[in-house]
Amino acid sequence: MTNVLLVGLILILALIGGHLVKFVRVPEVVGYFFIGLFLGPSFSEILTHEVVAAMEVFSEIALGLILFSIGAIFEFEHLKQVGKQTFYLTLYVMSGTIVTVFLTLLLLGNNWQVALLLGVIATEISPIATILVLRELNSEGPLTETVYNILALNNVGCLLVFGVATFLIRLIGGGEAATPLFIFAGKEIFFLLWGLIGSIAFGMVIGYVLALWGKRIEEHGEVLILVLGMILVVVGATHWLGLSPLIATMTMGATLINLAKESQHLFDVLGKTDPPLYAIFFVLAGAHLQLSSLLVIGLSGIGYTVARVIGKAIGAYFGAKRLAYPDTVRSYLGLTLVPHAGVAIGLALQLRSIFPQYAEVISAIILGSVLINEVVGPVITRIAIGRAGEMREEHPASFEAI
Amino acid sequence: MKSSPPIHSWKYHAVILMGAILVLVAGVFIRNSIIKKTEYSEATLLQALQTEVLQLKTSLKKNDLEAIADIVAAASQKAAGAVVSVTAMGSAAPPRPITTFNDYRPDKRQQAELGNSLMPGVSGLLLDATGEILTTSAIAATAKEFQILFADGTKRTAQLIGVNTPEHLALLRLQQNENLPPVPERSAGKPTETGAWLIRLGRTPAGRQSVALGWLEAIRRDAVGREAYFLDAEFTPELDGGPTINLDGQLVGINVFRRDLGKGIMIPLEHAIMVAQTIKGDAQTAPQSWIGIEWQDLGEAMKESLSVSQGALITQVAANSPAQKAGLRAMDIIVQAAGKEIRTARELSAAIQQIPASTKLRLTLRRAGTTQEVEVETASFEGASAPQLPTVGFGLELAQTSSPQGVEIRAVRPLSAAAQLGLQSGDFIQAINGTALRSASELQQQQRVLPPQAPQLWLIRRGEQSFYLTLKEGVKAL
Repeated sequence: MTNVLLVGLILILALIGGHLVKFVRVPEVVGYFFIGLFLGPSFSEILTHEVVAAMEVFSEIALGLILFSIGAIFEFEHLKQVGKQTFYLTLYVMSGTIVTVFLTLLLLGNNWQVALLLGVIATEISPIATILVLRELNSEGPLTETVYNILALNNVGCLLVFGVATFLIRLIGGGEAATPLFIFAGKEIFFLLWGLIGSIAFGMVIGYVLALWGKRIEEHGEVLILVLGMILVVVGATHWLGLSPLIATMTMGATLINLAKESQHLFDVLGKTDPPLYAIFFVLAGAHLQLSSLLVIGLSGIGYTVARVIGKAIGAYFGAKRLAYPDTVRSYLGLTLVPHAGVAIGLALQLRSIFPQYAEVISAIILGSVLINEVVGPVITRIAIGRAGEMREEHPASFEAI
Repeated sequence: MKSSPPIHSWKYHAVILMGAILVLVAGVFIRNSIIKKTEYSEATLLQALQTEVLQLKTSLKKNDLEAIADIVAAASQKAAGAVVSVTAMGSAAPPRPITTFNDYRPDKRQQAELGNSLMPGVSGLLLDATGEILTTSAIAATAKEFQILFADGTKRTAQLIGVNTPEHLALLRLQQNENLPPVPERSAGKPTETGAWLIRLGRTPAGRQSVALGWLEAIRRDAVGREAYFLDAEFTPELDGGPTINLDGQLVGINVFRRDLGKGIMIPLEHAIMVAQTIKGDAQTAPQSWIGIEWQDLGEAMKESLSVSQGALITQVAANSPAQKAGLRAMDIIVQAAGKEIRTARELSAAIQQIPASTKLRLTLRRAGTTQEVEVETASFEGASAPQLPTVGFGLELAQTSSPQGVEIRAVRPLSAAAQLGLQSGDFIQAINGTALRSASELQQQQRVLPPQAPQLWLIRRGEQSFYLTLKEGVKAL
């Protein structure tokens, strides 16, 4: 089967899958994901590892697009209003998650390194799954807005705590004894800072270019070309430079929105153009995973999955209460943030080279948990949004609009 | 997109932008310097991978070669004990170099080896526990007693039992046959086919084992049905007389160098052992009498041209021998001896040697188309001795053509005085005692004139080099 045919098949099957799950009030993304599972190695083996790897470019584009649109949240005026509050709330949610997961896994008999690493990985929230559910529900309200705000900060925060945790474990938990501590520490700190500051700087530079260039282009089609091209350049170049594509694309979006206010409509345009990419993204995510990973998830994996939800709920509850957020946010924010996906797997894979001794057990837990979360997470998010009363039943874009 | 009033001045943006670019450039620089030290770049990784693959491939091939080497080593090890070095006793001095200088071609300072062109040591195969050693006939012409060097470095003496020159084989017997190394087993299975891998073994006079691996190229038969096995394997001088074994280390045959073919061949073991038996048999039936002739078999062409159907052709008649007295001549063909038909040369040898001395032997011979009868009185064998045959000389065979360069040496007999002196075939004798020579007859004439006991100075030309050699006394016969 040619790859083109496969892409077509993926899109059409994803559409069907998305429609089918709607009958049981489950978000489309779960349907896409099921299609991926079905096409992947677990069942039909149509999407082999090679094909999935070849189509990975779609996933990267999709991720870049969604992070770019999240970046729009960092508008200065918007930040002035909610920035401080959001920052603290994110801190609450993250610490709640880390502490709960860490303690749970310690209680389940894991060593502290594994528990800590899983705790920081647990802070990851799949922006793409969460946002797609919000979009599908066409939700609006304080909870929805808070979710958008938190997602943006959480992304940066997650990478930061992951970096700090690995640094700590190497420092205390006996990393490579061969490397002198100061050299090792210097190297580690550099990579940590480079991943954050370098990504931000890179996103800013490209954002400036995009803003200056975009001002000279009037035609809608050309603007789209420019933005897509820039996003791809950023995603591709970050791999090459060892930067975080998530932070860089987000910064690019943030830079653009602050330099050119009217670009908001651009974000809207993108939001209407990209669904096929997200469909492919979730199908591939499904094809990545194997049902058999559920068999080896073990007690720790179940504990991790449950503790992560509880930790987010607790953190969100106390944070929202302390920061005087509306009641709906206090009650449902944690549950909205359950989706957990690709970036978590990426971090787990990264551990293979950093801590090969822990990587296996962590990978098993994360892979199993992500599989559960890809299905359950969006459903929980949908329920939470529904309970908070922010769901608007009419569809965001009808055929007539197109 | 339409431009909008910026929130801040352009300077503000410029500073931010420059700062971001600076951070990027610095970061990339630092990162590269760290990574270069700690990680492979993709290109070097690929190169390392390719090198590794290449190493893996070569190591595989090397393993194959080593496996072959192991097989050869294991096989030769099995037979090694029975492979001995055979050298003639009473060897001459080792080769000595002679350097000639000149002032017109300084780059061409020349050095010649004045080696004695002594038969180099050949190899032999210990046949059984009685101490019989099969070797090449080439060595047998040089001596009656030989030094045998075994694999473990022990040296023993062996005597010549006999030679079969047409078969190129000779049989020796050790004087002591205690504590001999085991004799390798003989290949008993199916006959060796062309294409089979075989190993030639030999031992150098220094005691080192020589091994040559090759496959059996062809098996050819000569006119009398003897089989010669041609191997695609190196044939160094010391392999002559050694055994050929198969990959299992079993004896297959004997290596001999055939001067007529200019090639080393293998004589199959069964045939070689049969030849050894005849040599032994001939030796056991000690001759009682002699008449003083040399003879040979008649070839097919010879029979036709001489219009005889069978017989033995006399090639030489010893001086003062009974044969000479009876009027026998070279070119006579003996067709009957004592009324018994002589079909082959071998039959004549039995007819002469196995009758008592002082017997009147009646020979029927064909001479120049006529049939004659001759009576020869056999003499006791004890009285016969080699000096009566005109074979002793300086050891030179000279070209009969005259040449302005001098007299060309065609061949040098091994172990002869000429060989000891260092003469080689292909050398030119340019002058003796300052008198230029052009032909062999001039040389012989000069030798008759020169005082026999006086030293002589020979000017020899070898290739582009000329040098003098000193003879202690004159040459009586070539």
